[in-house]
Amino acid sequence: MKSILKLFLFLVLFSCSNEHEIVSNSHQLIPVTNSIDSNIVKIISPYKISLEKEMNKVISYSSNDLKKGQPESKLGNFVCDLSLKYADGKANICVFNNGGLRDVILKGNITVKDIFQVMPFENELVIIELNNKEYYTLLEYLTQRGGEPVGGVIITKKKDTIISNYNNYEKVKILTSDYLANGGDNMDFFIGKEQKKLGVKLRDVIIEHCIETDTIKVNLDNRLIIEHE
Amino acid sequence: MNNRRTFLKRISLGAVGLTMFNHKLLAHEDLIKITILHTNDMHSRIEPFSSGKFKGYGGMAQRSSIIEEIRKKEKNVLLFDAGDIFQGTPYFNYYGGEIEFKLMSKMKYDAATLGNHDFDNGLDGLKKQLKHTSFPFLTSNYDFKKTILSNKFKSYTVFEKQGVKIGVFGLGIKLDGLVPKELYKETKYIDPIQVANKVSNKLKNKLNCDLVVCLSHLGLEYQSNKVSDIIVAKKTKNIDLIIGGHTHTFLEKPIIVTNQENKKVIINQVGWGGINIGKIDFIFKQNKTDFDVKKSSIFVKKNKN
Repeated sequence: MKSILKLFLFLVLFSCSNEHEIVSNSHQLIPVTNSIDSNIVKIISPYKISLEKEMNKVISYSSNDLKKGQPESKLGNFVCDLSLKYADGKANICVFNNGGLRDVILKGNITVKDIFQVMPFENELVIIELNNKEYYTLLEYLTQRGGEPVGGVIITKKKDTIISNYNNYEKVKILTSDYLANGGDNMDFFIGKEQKKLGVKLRDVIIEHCIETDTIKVNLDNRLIIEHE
Repeated sequence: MNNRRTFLKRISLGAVGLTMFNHKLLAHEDLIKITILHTNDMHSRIEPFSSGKFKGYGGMAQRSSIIEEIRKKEKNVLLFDAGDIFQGTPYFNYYGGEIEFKLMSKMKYDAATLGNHDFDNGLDGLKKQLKHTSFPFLTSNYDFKKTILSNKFKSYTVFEKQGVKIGVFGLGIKLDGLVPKELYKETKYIDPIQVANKVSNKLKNKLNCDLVVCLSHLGLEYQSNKVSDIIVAKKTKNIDLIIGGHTHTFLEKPIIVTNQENKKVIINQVGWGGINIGKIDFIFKQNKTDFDVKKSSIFVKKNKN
């Protein structure tokens, strides 16, 4: 009975004034690979050449390999410290995530391309103010994760307590990326908090720092210690 | 019109005709094939991926050569994009979308809609690059009246290929929370369902389009009740095909959804980064005053599978 009703409906619909009707359709998924349209290559070429020139510009020198790792890492410390320096006292500490740092910086010349590879995202810097309790939740998160990039703070986890130099502060100003500030990488404690935007991309801040710094030297300084029993 | 009488006649004969119409139909000289090619979320991928799991895939020169090959074989090709043309490689950071638009124009895109990332350089940034486009941006549910982009975009357009009319319109995602306000400024977002019903009705019933295509950057489907392509398809009446984007969904084959009038709506999306091109062919038959009994049974059959 239902199918007769359906049939009815179709017949009603296709008796409208449109001049053509679909009698069938088919589909195909075409992977894009191999052959090249040389006319397009010609258009791309000048852009590509000039882009490569920009990307291959040497903007600094790194005296050692900067890689990410836990609980702290040279790459994490580098990005956090230069960001905090950019914030110029507007924030107490800086927090990023290892997942957001997408490549390493090797000992030697640093090019613009290296920074694009470390930071391919368009993340912008923001400052969020956390109260004492929320700040402690942040510390729990950082230590439970085994460590994420931080700056401006010394965190030590001993058994069930986490000690840091801001534990007694009523408010702590956290510099981070808009991605994390919106709850990225499960940083739920940031969700819904007011964000003070610095209006600058993290990548641009890194590039700027490199241009201003002749030789980059980063150390591990025990800023995040997780003591295992 | 003796509609009622022909209905009854069709119903009684429909089932009989079901098994024997097929090759008769294909031999019909009035058949017209419309080929729709589509991309979404190309994200400034000018060159093929150089690493990762998509290594070797994509690239505008590669895409163009495939499109050119298809154009050689097919008479009636339409090429569409569902938004997020901008952002994703240094080409965008350095040239602001100029090369993306130039190459799409060279490939003879027929229309595109706006994705949220196409606002990444603000309304100014988008406006600045529009001079490099030779195709229209279709957007029905963004109101740009109070912005510098007022009158820059169309709600819909109608293409005609061998007498077949194809109406195309565009739907964009809610910008609030996705794009900073200082970038989209006074751009107003309007409920996509309401707009889609209105525009598709106009295309199908007033402008007599034979095919209504929606270019959407709403996203295929969400866990929440957030408006998506699936919801638009279900809650409207006159859309035949939705070309989607935003969720970067790799569909092996299009999804078929039943709309408010029990008609099928085809939804397709082909990933992102220019890794794939989607191709959907429609075969049309010219309607005659003497309505062919057999062809109505095709729809019944199609609908059931």
